[in-house]
Amino acid sequence: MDIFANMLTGFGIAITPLNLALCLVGCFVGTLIGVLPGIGPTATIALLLPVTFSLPPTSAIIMLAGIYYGAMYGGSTTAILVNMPGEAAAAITCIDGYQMARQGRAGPALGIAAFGSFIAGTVGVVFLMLLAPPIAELALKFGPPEIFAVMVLGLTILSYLSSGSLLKAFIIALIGLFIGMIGIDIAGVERFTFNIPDFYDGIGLLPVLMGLFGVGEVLFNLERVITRDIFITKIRGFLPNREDWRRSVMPIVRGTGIGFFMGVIPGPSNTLSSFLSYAVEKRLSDHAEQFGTGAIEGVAGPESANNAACASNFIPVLTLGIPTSPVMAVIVGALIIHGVTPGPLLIRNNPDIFWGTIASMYIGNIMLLILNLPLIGLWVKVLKIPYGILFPLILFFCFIGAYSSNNSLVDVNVMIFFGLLGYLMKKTGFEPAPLVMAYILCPFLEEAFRQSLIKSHGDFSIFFKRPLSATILAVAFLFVFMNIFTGIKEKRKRLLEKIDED
Amino acid sequence: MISVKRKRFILTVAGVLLLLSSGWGGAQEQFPNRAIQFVIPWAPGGGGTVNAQVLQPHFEKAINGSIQIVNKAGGGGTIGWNYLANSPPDGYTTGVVNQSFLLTQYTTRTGVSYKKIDPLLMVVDMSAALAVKVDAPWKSFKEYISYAKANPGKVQMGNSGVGANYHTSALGLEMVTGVKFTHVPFKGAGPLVTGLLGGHVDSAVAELPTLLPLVEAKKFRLLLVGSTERNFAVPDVPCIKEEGYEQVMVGAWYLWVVPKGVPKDRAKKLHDAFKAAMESKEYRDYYRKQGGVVRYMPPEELPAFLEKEDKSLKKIIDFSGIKPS
Repeated sequence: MDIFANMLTGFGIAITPLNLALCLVGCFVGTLIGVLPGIGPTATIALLLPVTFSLPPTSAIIMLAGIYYGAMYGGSTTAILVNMPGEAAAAITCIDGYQMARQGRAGPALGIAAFGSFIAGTVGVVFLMLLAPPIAELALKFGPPEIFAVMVLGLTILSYLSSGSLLKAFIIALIGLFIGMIGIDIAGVERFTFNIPDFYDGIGLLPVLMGLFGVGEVLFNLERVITRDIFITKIRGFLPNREDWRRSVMPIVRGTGIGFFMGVIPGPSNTLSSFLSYAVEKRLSDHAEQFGTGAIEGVAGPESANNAACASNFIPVLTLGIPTSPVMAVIVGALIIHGVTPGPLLIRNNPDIFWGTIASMYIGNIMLLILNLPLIGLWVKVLKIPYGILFPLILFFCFIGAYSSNNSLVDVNVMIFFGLLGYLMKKTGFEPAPLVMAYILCPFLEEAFRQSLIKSHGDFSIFFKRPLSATILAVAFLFVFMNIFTGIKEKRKRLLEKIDED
Repeated sequence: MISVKRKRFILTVAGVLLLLSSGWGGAQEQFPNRAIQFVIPWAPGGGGTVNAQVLQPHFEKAINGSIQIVNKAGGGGTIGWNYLANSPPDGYTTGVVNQSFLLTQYTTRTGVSYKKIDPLLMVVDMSAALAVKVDAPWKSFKEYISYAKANPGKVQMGNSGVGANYHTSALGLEMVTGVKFTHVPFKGAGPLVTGLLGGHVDSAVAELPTLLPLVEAKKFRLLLVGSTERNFAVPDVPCIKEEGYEQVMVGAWYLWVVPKGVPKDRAKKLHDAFKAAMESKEYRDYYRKQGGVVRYMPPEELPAFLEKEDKSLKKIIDFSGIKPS
């Protein structure tokens, strides 16, 4: 078999002492920046790129890739511990992960996130190896109408992202859509920018996330010093127990599948895949009411999904040379600087880079697991830090993160604004997840919608004439229809029960 | 009372702060005695950042100092350029501009006039090219244009954003050939290339380095390069001049510039270091692979060059009626 021969060559390259060491460095740095909110993989890779100049190209890419998937690994840590997502994909982990931490189950939450990431990451790499070229071809079939359909599908899962009032979820999602509209649209028209050039490219994702979650949470907790006791109640177990595992296996499997396939589609695939995984788990679960109060499935599924998406993110880059995300753009830049042309010929011209990197990703995933499990004990102790020290620290990292993402004070102000908004939302029972979801989807939704209509000269049938987009839209409608149907059924049941009681 | 320990701590902190603070050296300070900022007005990973990163080691060696690459993205580049133009003219801030710099004067309200900066040198010149999929019916630029002429609005032309570089190139083509495209905007060059690859648009104008790997892999066919002469990387593709039109497709040239008023000797030091870096083997090798022409242009010629480019852009802008909204 060709693949096995190639894989052996790959491992031969990845296992040299230099490459092993660099892989470890990459994973370690990645974990670190994943844990530190605000310092994302894009900035780190860009910053460390010059360091790799003296290295052979394969070694350089091995290290930089390690930073990327390491960061995905670490991103959930702060989400679970202090309700602050390290990156957008972890926003959904906050919902149940943080609740688990509040109940003293931070250990199992972190544990299942690590194991789920490991399993999904490894399986994702296997898929990447076996399926990269055909998947890349499939991804190209996603033109504007198809992307639009995927985004519509994304919006239909909004109702699953909230454990409280559905009406409030939709209201806050509309606000999210509005925030997503700020900036210059694809026709070059400024909207709601108030002449602030920083808003031309839209409101930065990182400041919004850190404001809504991190700052908002800190402000909210300042009011409730007494509840502190819940937090330091006994921390039960560092690792997931048998019951946790039983409940998490299927979410991990499904999350891996969802993540891998979503990861190839252009757009905010990491985030979308983890949100979608959450919705699917909630839908399939027989105790959906536990979601939002610390259901382990709500951590296992999304965390697996975003790590699998992380592996498939590499497909368009390695097979076509096209970056699907800012991080990938930096990695493409790194390849180019090292004299390697990313493109359809990469696998043929530089097989050592392709197979070496893939092999290193197997090794890297094992390293990350070994690196992360012992750290759980340490992370859990973070919860024991007195609020008087922990809160200023969280704010400190939020401010640094907001500023450093684009060296701009405007971003800091945006974060403060969303911090206040997050606080008010918490007080009034609005949840941030639907807002984040709508805000992330909006630009892609609108762009794809308008591109499609430009292409069809205003004819809406373009969405239904193409088999792929028609199918996805049908699934979306089915989703909505099923929701309404179950809603009616439940209401009838309740009414009938009421009649019976009478 | 402040304890001794506390006092010592405060003194240490004060000392460190004093050391970190800059600008209290004598008037005859050596240049550079701290890191020089390379302002890149785009996010990391793009051509501008990569240009800086390839130059960096050789520049640092030549000037005997260190640099710091600062990405200030947003506003179509105008945030970074405003920051650059308003930085103190002490030689510690330099930055990169391309033709978008001229373009944003007309397409945004925050654009910076090119008269507010002093150009140091041109370091590279990359052609724009017109690409179609390899299975497209058009084998040559003439066939393409005559089809587009016969079927107004039928040919879909992808661009990387309305008012962005290659949108104006496509508008320029409309201006000189009299055809009418359906312009499909994408957000950036990556999605644009994916769109063309997937057959979701019929053609696209983008810079050569972006298209080259896909041309080599026989996925795209180039019909035209936008420069006044053929490009060494694709010698069999005609240039726009050969087709009998004026140069309306702006390529991507990179100039390094400083805010107006940097002392002559410092500007010269920066210029010399850049020149030495662009003459390095690594830099030349890098752009040879990319299809970028390493073209030096000295500071004396640049004002006239900018004025000429500005004029031809203005003509396209007036033709298309794009304005800040």
